[in-house]
Amino acid sequence: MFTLLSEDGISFQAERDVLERSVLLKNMLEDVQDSSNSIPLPNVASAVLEKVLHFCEHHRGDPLPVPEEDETRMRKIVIEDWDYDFISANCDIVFEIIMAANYLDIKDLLDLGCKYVASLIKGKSTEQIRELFHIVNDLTPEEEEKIKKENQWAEAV
Amino acid sequence: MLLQKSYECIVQYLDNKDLCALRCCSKYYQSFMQDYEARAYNVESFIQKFLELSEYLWFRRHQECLGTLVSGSFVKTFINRGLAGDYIDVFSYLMFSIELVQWLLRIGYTYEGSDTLEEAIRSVEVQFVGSGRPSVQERMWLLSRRSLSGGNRFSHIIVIGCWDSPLADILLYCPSMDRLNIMTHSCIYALYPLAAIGRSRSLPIRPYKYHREAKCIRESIRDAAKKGMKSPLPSTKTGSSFNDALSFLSPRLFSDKFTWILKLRNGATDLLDILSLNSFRVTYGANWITLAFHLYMPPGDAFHHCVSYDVYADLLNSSNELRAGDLFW
Repeated sequence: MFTLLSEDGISFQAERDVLERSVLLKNMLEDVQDSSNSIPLPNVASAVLEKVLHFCEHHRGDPLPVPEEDETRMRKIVIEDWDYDFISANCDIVFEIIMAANYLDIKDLLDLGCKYVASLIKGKSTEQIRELFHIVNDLTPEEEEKIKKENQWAEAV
Repeated sequence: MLLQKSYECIVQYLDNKDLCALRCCSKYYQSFMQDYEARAYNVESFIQKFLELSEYLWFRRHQECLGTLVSGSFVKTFINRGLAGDYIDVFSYLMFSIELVQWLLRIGYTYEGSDTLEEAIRSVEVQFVGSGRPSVQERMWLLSRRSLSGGNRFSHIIVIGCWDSPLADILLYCPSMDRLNIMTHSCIYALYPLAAIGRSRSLPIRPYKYHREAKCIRESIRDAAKKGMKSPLPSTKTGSSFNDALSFLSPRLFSDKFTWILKLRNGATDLLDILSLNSFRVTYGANWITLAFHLYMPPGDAFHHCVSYDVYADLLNSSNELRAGDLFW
């Protein structure tokens, strides 16, 4: 068992094959033979790290994802049931999970978070997206008009 | 706010309509999308399976000077940010096709016809001069080369020699709305972008010669309705609207609000890109649409333009030129 230390000082224990879902941790574990020292993760809060480890525990032993070269195949978002339940139950911290997955280099968790966010954006108008993600519109009316004009084909019925 | 890499991952799952909605959210998203699109729509990289960079620069110059166009699945895949297939359709004026194929042969493409390519092109030219109308299949030449992306795959360039204009052939023979995407040296024109990205239905397109009399079309529609088959055509309301990409009442301009013009950030000047001056009008068949247009050659110009009949009438009136162009319904 290895010990991870979150940015707010909480310790979590996990086995090697769970931690090896993360490329960052896998590389670190190769250098650290002694499991008595805890591994500090200064960029990941305990609430997020707990979820990340839960995900890694569930996917322990799964084959690592192969990068999809053809982006068009990615447009049809398919999320497995367990993954959907996991990410939607944590939708209030989905951005933190994505950032942690990015930092820890956990490809399947990063993909899951991004797929989930993309599924929230799909089919929504600009106003709906702003509302959903609390985005402040800092475009001037002229800038907004110009962008809308360039993209008016997308609004055509 | 997420890191750029995370946004890159998210936008891969979004189609172009969603990207437009995202782009309008704020300055950050506008800037992010500009950077993303510069990478996502990199034509030099996309075409490298067919042409190395130096070869593409020659080809782009050929497009710019001699009006050569690219269309078909290659362009559709490009705008959808997919992986390039093995074929690229190049529409070239017949008179400039020899220069193009000679260059392709020089850079290693091979042709496996019974005649030499020059003989084949000259033969088609003779048919046109003699008032014949060789079919597209008779003036289409396939050249192949081992793919530059490696492996045992081959890349194929299909050169289609066009008598009237490359655009006229595309408008006449494009099989469906989703494939009506045209690449010049500097821009891509997606005439039905929502169909091209899979967001709306794609109707079949047929040349006017397949049109039957209105009575036959009515009977065909009635028969289909009796069998419970629904016409793929849009409703009468849509067709007769003045504000619809499928309206038969107003002309479609290549620069209108229904067209998505994607500027290729390939360093090419777009000063000479005059494709935006073209237009057409939609007419309906039994279960397909036809893109109707006249060919118009402005005084002092060497090339034909495709223009809808009302634009054509205005052009004739304004230029006082009474010579009628060929009519292509």
